Parts: sequence; structure tokens; C-alpha cells
Amino acid sequence: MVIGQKLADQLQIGLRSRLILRFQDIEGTLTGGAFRVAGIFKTNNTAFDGTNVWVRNNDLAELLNLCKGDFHAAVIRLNDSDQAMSTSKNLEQQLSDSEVLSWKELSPELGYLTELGNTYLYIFTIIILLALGFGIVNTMLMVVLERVREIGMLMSVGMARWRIFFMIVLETVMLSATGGMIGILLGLLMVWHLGKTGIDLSVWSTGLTEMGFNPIVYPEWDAALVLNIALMVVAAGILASIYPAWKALKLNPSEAVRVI
Amino acid sequence: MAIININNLYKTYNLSQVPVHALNGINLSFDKGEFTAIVGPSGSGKTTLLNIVGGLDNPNQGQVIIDGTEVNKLTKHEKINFRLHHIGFIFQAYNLIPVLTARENIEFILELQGIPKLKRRERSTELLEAVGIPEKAKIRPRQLSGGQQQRVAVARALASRPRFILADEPTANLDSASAENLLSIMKDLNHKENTTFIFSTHDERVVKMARRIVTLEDGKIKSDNQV
Ligand SMILES: Nc1ncnc2c1ncn2[C@@H]1O[C@H](COP(=O)(O)OP(=O)(O)OP(=O)(O)O)[C@@H](O)[C@H]1O
Ligand SMILES: [Mg+2]
Repeated sequence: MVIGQKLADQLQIGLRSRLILRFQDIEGTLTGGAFRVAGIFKTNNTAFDGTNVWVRNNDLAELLNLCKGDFHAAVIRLNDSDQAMSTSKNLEQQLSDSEVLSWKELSPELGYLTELGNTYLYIFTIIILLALGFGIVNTMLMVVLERVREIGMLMSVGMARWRIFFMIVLETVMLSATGGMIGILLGLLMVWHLGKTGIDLSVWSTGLTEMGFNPIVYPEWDAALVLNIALMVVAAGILASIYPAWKALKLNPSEAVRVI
Repeated sequence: MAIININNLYKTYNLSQVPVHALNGINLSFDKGEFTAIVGPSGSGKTTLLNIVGGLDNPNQGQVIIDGTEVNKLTKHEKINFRLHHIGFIFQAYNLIPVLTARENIEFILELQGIPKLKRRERSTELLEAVGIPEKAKIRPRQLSGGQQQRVAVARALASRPRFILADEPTANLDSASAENLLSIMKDLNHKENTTFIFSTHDERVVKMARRIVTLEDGKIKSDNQV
């Protein structure tokens, strides 16, 4: 048998130690068998290592009086964790005599943690966007103040107010879109690089491995998320440009052209 | 035939404790095709008068009537439209849009008016010739001399054939040779296109080229002479 390192440590056993396992067979009678430790394994999940041993299917079948092809559980791995819920619902309908559980039901604290992480991500995104918005307001106010004479001249020669408003908004959008594009490009490069090397969080990872997370994180880029953020940046730009643009509108042309 | 009638115009600024009577009962009229200089010492009200005539500012009392339209009764929006279609402006500085070429600057007002590209081209070519800088069509203001920039500004003001052109010290930033040069170009265009020019100035040599000289002092008309 193969035993998890944590469990082996707890039992103070090593390779070639003998271990008696007890269990109920298929009829419910108590039975057991002696196994020799052939290997010790270590995963990223210390909880898993502390509670699992592996034995050969044939040995177990013999002890439990199982027929060939009898299983009490099957694990299905999906490529996309978001599909877990719907797939398990589907299977549950098809396999009416079996219990189907998604990973979030099997390990609710893990699901909770993941959701908490997503919520934090959104809160951080909102904070960053707010900071961005104030940055844009500040920049564009400077732009308007720097160009009081030019804007005054445009108003004097008969440029409609909505055009001036639109001009400032458009400038802001172009500015934030260009900045956003450069930012996304840098982000992609970083994700691409770190996706290869991984971010090693093992220094802080005791908690992570307790929960079953891999301490080396490989960032991935998510097109939908990037698009979302790009749109949010542009939206923040438009919102942030309204105040400076309105400020430009309020200029009085006769006074604006006098400003040195 | 007068195109501009100014009746009993008053403008008082109350910013400081002592109110400033910038305009103190002005009565004036301008005819089509005039080439008129407004002169007077600093603070006599020249800029104030031009701003009110151009609908950039409102008087406290009195009226400005341009071809039957009482300008200061128009709404904000109507005023902008009126300026766009009927008045040309030349300022002392910062006249041009820095990111546009000379030609694009000249065509700017035509573009705001929605004139098609071909017509704009035609008119801007004609005006670049008229102000003597056809070779600068593709140059941006930063690379033009002050005098050349003001010529572009004159061309822009004329582009849409407005009823009249208001110029507040158009030569103030120019040396006297360029100033005279600019004035002769303006006078030429005044003659050729029969455009009315009203400009303020401090420059004696520029004043000499005007056909009518209105002198202001303390917001009142001191003299009004045809030359
Ligand atoms: N926005 C304003 N607020 C307060 N006072 C003003 C304002 N604009 C002009 N004035 C005052 O009104 C008077 C006339 O000013 P105006 O600018 O019309 O003179 P000007 O003849 O154009 O002078 P300059 O030759 O120096 O350009 C001045 O006393 C000036 O201080
Ligand atoms: Mg002045």
C-alpha cells in the first residue's frame, strides 16, 4: 500500500512497516487485512495526505468480496470547474440510484474560499477603477485649464457647446483607451511569463496546502475578464470626463480669450 | 446702409468696490464694406465694445442690432450659431488650433458650418493665395511665424464670408513691418471681397491705414473721423 506522508508521520511508521486495515465488507461484516507500506506520497494537500492510503484494487476486492467492476465511488474531472454544477445536476438525473456531488458540495469551504477570492477581486477592481477615475478627472481638468484660451476661441468662432463637450469626452476616452491597451499588453506579457514560471507562494502556503491548493500558482489569461476590464476602464473614462467637459462648457468666451 | 447699429450701450463691471464703467453710452453704426479702427488708451473699453458687438458678452443697457437682429436678445445657443454664420473673429494670440495645419485651420469654420469638402478646399486655396502663404498649406501653426499665423487667422475669419470681421488688436504681437503687412492684406481683402473690418489697435502705423477711426476714452466716443 501507499500512504500519505502526514498520516505516516502521525502513525510513526516508515517504508516496509505493516499496517492492519479494518473495514466492512459488502454484506456489512467486519473484516480486515494486513498491508505493507510500499511507498509514501506527498501532495499539495496536507489534509488529503493525512487521511488517505491507497491499496491495490484486487487485494481489496478479495477482502470485501467484491465482484470485478464493483466501485463505491467514481471521480469525474472536468476541464472547466464552472461546469461542475450543471454536469453534476445532469448526472444526478441520469443516475437516479447514485448520489452525485460537485466539488463545492463535497468541500463547501473550498467553494466558499474561491467565491470569497472572486469577491475580493471585484472589490479591488472597483477600488482601482475609482482611483483611475480620479486620476482621469485630475488630468482632464488640467487639460481644460491649460487650454482655456483655445476653448474660448473655439466658442467665440461659433463651435457648438455640445461639440466642445464631446471633444473633451472623446479626448478622455482616447487617452484612457490607449492607456488601457498598454496596460493590458503589459499584463498579458506578465501573465504569459508567470504562466510559464509560476508564482511560488510556498513561503506563505501552509494555509493554502491545508485547503488543498497548489502553492505554485500559474496565472492564466481570461479573455472575457480582460474585455470586461477594458470596457470598465473606458466607462470610467467617460464618467470621469463629464466633470472636466462640463467645466469647459461653463467658460465664458469673452473672459476665456482674455486669459493670458 | 448700416449693418451694425449700436444704441446707447452701457457696460459696468462690479468686480471691485468701485464699479468700472467700461462703456458709458456708446452710439455707433457701421456700414457694409467699412475698414474701421477703434483706438483709445488702455482701459478705454475697446475690447469690451468688440466683445459685446460680437455677442461674446452682454451689455447692462442698450442694444446691438446686426441686420435687424438684436444680438443680446438671442439665447446662448442662438448666439453661438449667429457668430458661426455671420461674424468672423481674429484675436491677438492663440488664434489657431495647434494640431491642425494652416489649411485645416482656415477650413475649420466651414467645416463647423457643414460645407462639403470640395467647396472648403476651393475656398481655402483661394484664401491661402490671397494672404500670400500658399506654400504653407500643410504647415502647423507652431512652425509659422507670428505674422504668418495671423494671416491664417485672417483667412479663417474670411472663409465663410461673414457679414463683418471683428479683430481685437490683431497686430499686438507683431513687429511693425509684419503689422503693416497684415493690415495691407486685410485692406486688400476688404476691397476684393467687400468684407467689413472692425479692429482695435494701439499701433499708429496701423491706425493710419484705416479709413475710419473711432476714438474711445473712458467708455465714451471721443472722436469719429473718416480719413
Ligand atoms: N472681465 C472684467 N472684469 C472687470 N473689469 C473688466 C473686465 N474686463 C474689462 N474690465 C475693465 O473695463 C475697462 C475696459 O476694459 P477693456 O479691456 O475694454 O479696455 P481696452 O480698451 O481693450 O484696453 P487695452 O487697450 O489695454 O486692451 C477696464 O478698466 C478694465 O479694467
Ligand atoms: Mg483690449
